[in-house]
Amino acid sequence: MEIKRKGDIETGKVEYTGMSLRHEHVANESLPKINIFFPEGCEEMAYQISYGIEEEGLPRCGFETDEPFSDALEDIVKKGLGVAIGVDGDKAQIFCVQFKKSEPFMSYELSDKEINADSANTGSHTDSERLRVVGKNAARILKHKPFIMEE
Amino acid sequence: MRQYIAGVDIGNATTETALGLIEDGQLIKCVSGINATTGIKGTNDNIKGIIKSLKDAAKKMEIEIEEIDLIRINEATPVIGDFAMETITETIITESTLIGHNPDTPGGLGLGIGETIKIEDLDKAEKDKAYIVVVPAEVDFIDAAKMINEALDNDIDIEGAILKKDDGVLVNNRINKVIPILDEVAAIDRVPIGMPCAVEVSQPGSCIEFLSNPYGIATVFGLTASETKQIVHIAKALIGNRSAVVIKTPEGEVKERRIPAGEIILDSGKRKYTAPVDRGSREIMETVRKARNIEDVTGTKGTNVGGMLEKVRKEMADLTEQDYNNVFIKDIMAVDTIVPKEVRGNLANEFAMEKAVGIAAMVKTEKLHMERLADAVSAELGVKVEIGGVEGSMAVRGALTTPGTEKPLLVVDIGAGSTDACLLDRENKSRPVHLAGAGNMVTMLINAELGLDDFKLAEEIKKYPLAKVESLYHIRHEDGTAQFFEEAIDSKMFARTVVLKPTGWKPVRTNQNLEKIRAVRREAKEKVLITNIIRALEKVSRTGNITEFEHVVLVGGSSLDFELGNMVTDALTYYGIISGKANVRETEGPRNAVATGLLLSYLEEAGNGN
Repeated sequence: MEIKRKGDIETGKVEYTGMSLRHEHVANESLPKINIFFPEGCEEMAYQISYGIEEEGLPRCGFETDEPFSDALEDIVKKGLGVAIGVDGDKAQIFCVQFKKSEPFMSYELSDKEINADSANTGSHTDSERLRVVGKNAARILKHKPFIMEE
Repeated sequence: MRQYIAGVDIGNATTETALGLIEDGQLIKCVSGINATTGIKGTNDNIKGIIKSLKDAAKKMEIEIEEIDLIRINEATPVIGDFAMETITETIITESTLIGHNPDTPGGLGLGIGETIKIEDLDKAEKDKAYIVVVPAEVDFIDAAKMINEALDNDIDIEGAILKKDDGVLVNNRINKVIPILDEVAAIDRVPIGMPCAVEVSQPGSCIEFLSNPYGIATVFGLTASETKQIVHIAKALIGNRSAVVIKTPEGEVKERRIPAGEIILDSGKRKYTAPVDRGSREIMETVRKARNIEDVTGTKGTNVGGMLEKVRKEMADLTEQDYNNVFIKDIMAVDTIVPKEVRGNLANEFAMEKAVGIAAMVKTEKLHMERLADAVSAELGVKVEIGGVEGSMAVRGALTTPGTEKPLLVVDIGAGSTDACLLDRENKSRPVHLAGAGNMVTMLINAELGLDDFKLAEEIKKYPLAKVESLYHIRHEDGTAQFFEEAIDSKMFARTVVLKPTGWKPVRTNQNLEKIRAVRREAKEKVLITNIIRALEKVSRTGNITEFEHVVLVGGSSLDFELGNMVTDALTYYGIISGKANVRETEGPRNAVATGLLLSYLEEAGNGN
């Protein structure tokens, strides 16, 4: 099976490889996307968020940055979908231009558990599942669907 | 001579007062008071509520209760209403056939037919067979996609997939073939393996075509005509779904069972009439009409309806301290409905719409003697208390203070348990009528048809209008108008239909959209309340032709419903009848009719004009 250069998470510094997606407009720079900002070392968390967005059927793009949350806040006022996500080891936040205040629309505290590709398989209610929910809820703002609320 | 006279109406829900200042036989001033009824109507527990209601009125009149010269309370005709629902069909799955599952984000597209196989067994798959891959939670979507692609590369014919996790789109995006993928199947370990299976997923916004068609299922599984007859309810259950899975197991079948719902037996005194409940409301109500004057109603023991009829009889016997055998059920009302019920044996919380019949019953006895209560109130307050008159005729007298009304006038009071009407004719004779089916039955229908399992929420949907939260800062009302807000709306309500209660919005957590919820609400009111108003008119009519009436007014708390008044006006205009909410004393709306009637009848009896 051919593995293509992964296009759905582009970064300025590091390129990621993974499974190719069959019909993604990954090369289309001008398509507005939900951007996910993450610092070095948190790429798997960004992946989990992107899977949540992908399951809802929306385009997404990852950016490695030292200031994930302020970059996400700046991003929402640029031309685009108006929704962006910032994530680091402690928290994940959804920013939304519809929400007037200059603070996150939704915020999720994460535990110290290390998020890696294996933790998605445990089946327990891990941070990786919660990160998927972050992605889904961000997409649902735009799809206009009720949010998945945490109990 | 200056007198303060109070009329007090003790209702099932509220105790209302009309307090009048009478000077030289003329009513100079009249104020209203209201409080919730305490305890069951007709018992000494009512005293607390009566005092609070009187205090409410006295305050407005700027007097103390002790200054009241006479209190008149209503002679109550105790009416107890209750209802039950009998589901008359039930969908049962034997041998884990999956139907009716409709996940949010299925993957892929098309119709896939093949034999079910566990994903970990793909390496043992045969090349000349078609397969539907079953993926448990332990297999990550990336691994699942890799394994499927590997099998495809090895010329294994994979035609569809069923997943436990919500990964349908994720898997679809990574495999090298477009196949239909159904996800979120909770009981994946109960999916039978090695069985013929069909998976269908349609485009977003559209519905499946093959599996919702009995001949489509017959084509897929090569069924005979008689086998096709048996699976027609599978197809029916799948209508409107965006995706579906049907698995054929040898012993397994999906059965739509008709549940024995028993019979209703109506005793008209002269003869008995029976109506099987599972024939539906039309036949039951036709039998009610044939029976004309019902003396008693019983139902088959062990059924919901039979149990309800006995419960209502016992409740009345306890209230009036009578022998249970001396209490008779005088009216029933049946309404057809369909309710979503969980399918027995389901794999993924599927629901099927089942037929149900809702039945309301009304039991009444002779007048509830209120003397004991009158004496107790008198002793408590040190004020003279007398029994004023029967509710129905008092209600009509009070309602006649509505501008634009005249005799003959039919007053309809839609309560929680029963619909009570009273006609006052030109000769001042009153004819009361009591019918089963009222506010609680409407709530029951809303609760059942929307699958809420929450009577309180159903009650709120009945009473208050709806809106859709369209963005974080605006809602769209039922009539289409948008309303914007300065503060962000709670994210719990985002994209949801909400009930606009005066105390705050309540989100309705169902899959149905606003239009559907609104339609269910209005239809429930029509099926029960409008039907009963027409039934009441038919019962009081001497000619059997209800167009002989000209005036119908609604009184009582239920008439405050935001849309019922207009629905009634709309419905009765068809018969040439003027109808609408009463406006008692030109200021009270539909409230206070009985209390006002008690006061006015005092003036009449004392030979004074009002």
